[in-house]
Amino acid sequence: MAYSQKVLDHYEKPRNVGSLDKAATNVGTGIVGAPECGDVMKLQILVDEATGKIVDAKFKTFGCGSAIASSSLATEWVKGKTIDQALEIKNTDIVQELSLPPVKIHCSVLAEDAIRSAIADYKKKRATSAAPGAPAAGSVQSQSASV
Amino acid sequence: MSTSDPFALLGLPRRFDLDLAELQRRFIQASSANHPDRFTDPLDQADAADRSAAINEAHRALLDPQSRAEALLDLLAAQAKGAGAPAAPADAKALPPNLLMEMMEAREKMEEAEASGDQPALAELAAWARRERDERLVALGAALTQAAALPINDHARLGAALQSARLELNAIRYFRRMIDQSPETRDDR
Repeated sequence: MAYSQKVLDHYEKPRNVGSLDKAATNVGTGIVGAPECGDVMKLQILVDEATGKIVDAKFKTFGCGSAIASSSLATEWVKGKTIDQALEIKNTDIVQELSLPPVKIHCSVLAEDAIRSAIADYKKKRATSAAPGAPAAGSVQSQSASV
Repeated sequence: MSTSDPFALLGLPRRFDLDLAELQRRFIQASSANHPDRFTDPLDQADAADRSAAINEAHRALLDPQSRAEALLDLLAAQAKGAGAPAAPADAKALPPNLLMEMMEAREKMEEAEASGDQPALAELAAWARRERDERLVALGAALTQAAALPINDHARLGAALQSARLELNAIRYFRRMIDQSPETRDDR
């Protein structure tokens, strides 16, 4: 399978690999997967609560080159955007930017899902932390792997 | 092979718990009967070569439990649809709760263990993934056996059994991917 130059570039030099503190109330975490192939992707956003802008984003993807490139690109694109602007990013934009072939379109869908899921997690945390007496937003951490 | 029926092609019953010795017997029989060398006419030979390829493909699909389950699930779902089951009620991406979270954490641990050369941790993670895969294969087999035994017009129970098989199959792909990408598996190649 021939990867496009842009996919190779993101694959060889992935942007924003890493993790943010998923317990922090201003961090949204999205974990998504593609059952077709078993790829898993984590995308996290750090939101400036005063401006509503995404000031940092990190990802970790265990999957093929296209999945890594799609999530790397997604972190680049969400940075500096408000969460509403970030929600406008479509998988077709990613397909176009990376020239993904039809068999790899699901990788771009995964990246779009990851953005949405991270934003949904952030919004949920905000709603929870705004409620008086609500437990701190760290519930995701209690689901540890049984390894 | 999703368009054809590997069970029918090899004259085997549509079931997950296949008799593997019988599968082997049928495969050898079918292969020898359709071997291109048995034919002299070039057109007959070409046809036989096509049939042989399909027979090989069917054998491969049925030998591996996961691909056998995929084939059977597709056939049973098509059958249910043909019998007037509600169109596409199944969630094709269904997964056990927390599986993605668990998988992400396990993959991060595997990445760390690989970076630090922690062989015991790597072995433990790979063993965990294989154990999970095997347990889910058993559950998958049970769901498919149940689905195959249900009356074709029992849409509710059949739908539930097929959905539960789909969920296990989806989960298995993640464990399989982890096993395939674990350092010990990669080094074996």
